[in-house]
Order: sequence, then C-alpha cells, then structure tokens
Amino acid sequence: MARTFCLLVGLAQLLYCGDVFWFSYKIVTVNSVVIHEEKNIALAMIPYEGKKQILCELPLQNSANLPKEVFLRKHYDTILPCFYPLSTRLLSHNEQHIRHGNDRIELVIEPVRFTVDFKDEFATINAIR
Amino acid sequence: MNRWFMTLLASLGLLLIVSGCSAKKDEPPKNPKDAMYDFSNEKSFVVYGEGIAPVHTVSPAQAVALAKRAAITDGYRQLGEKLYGVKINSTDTVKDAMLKDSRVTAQVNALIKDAAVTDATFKDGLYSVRMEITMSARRWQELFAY
Repeated sequence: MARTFCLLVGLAQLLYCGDVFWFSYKIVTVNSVVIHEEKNIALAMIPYEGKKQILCELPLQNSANLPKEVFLRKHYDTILPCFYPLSTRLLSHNEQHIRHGNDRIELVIEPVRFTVDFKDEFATINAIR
Repeated sequence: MNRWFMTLLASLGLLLIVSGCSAKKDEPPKNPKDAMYDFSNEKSFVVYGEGIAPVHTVSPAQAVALAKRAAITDGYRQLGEKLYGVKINSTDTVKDAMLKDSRVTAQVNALIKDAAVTDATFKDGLYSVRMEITMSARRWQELFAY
C-alpha cells in the first residue's frame, strides 16, 4: 500500500513538474580568490504556472539522452552565466589594517524556477516567475 | 475709416490670441515623482573586475574558470558600490602621541539586476572582466521599487 502511494506521488510529480527546476548559486571570494562555491539545481516539487522569460540559448545537445536534471548538473558551468542578470545579491566586507587587509565578497543568485527546452542542437533556458 | 479701424482691431485681437498661445508656459508634471527624478537621462556604469587564479587546483582550466568567477564577483561589488554606495567605518588608536592601530572597514550590500559582462581577458594569472549596467531613474523604479 505504502509502496503504491509513493509510486503514485512520484508519478504525479513527474507528470506535473517534471520539467521545472530550481536554480541557485553562491560564491565567496577572499582577496580575489574563490574559497567557497555552492551550485544548486533541483527538480521542482510543486507545479507552478508563471510567466516564461527566455534567459539564453546555448549550443548544447542532449545526445546521450540523459535525464534533464543530470544533464543540467553536468553543464552547470555553461548555464551559470545565463542566470547572472537575474536577482544577484551581494555582500562585501573589506577590512584594512596597518599591515594587512582582508577583502571578502559573497555573491548569491537567488533561487529561481527554470525550464530547459532542446531544439535543433540548442538548449533554451527559460526562467519562470 | 471705420472699416480700417475694425480691421486693425481684428488683427490686433488675432495677434493677441496667437502670441498668447505661443507664450504658454510648460505645464508642471502631473505625477509628483516625475518632478523628483529626471526620467530622461540614462547612464551607463562600467567597471573592471579582477580575479586571481588559485594555485592549488585540479587543472589549469579550473584555475582560469575560478579566476573568472572571482573577477565577475569583484565586478558586481564595484557595480554595487556605484549604485548603492559604500558604508565606511574607521578607527584609529593613538597612544603616547603615536599611532598604534588603524582600521578601515568598507561594506557594500547590494541587489543587482541586468548587468552584463562585455569583455574578458586573462593574463599572467589575473582574469579581468569589463562589466556594464545601464541605469536611469525609470529603470531603477522598474527593477527595484517593489
């Protein structure tokens, strides 16, 4: 019974939210060197009907027919620049002493829903808001 | 004579109406916010962000990729400085007429949208990116006033 219920939930999620993903990113640099990076891509759990906004078209092809989530994780570095123009929050703290200085910057791309469509050797990334 | 006088009067009247229309002063803006901001001026902010390639990486390509990200982050910080300003705190400690300690802290807290990387170079372990954002009072209201 429980197994069937779980299967039903999984199936419903695949049917209704299979194509919508969450994207977020965080980077911390100290003295111009990257010391921490967080790359997040996750499948959306709740269906969401919002306005689509084309972010970019990339020359990417899912020739190996990988699941979309796996494909996106694999090409995270390629799709990252598409998300910079969205809401990017920044916190910088620069401390200068007599003999030394410490310059720390935290940059966060806030979580955003997005979809990816493959067509003619191109992948189109759309933000959903 | 009477006809001449009437024509003169009519001409003067017409002149008065026309000159009255042309001398009409500019109406003040209806929206009080329009009076506060200059909506016509767009201004481009250009910054050059710099990032250093870390030493201990898996491959040189990874070092370049990380340097690029550090450069973009630095560029965003500089854009934040221009758009939002910098909060500065400074403390100097003097003891026996001698400077013992001096600290300057600069903080930036910003939310940036629609900035673009327009150029990038990598030379001698230093990645440099040129970043640009175009801003006007109207654009500012569209993006951030909510």
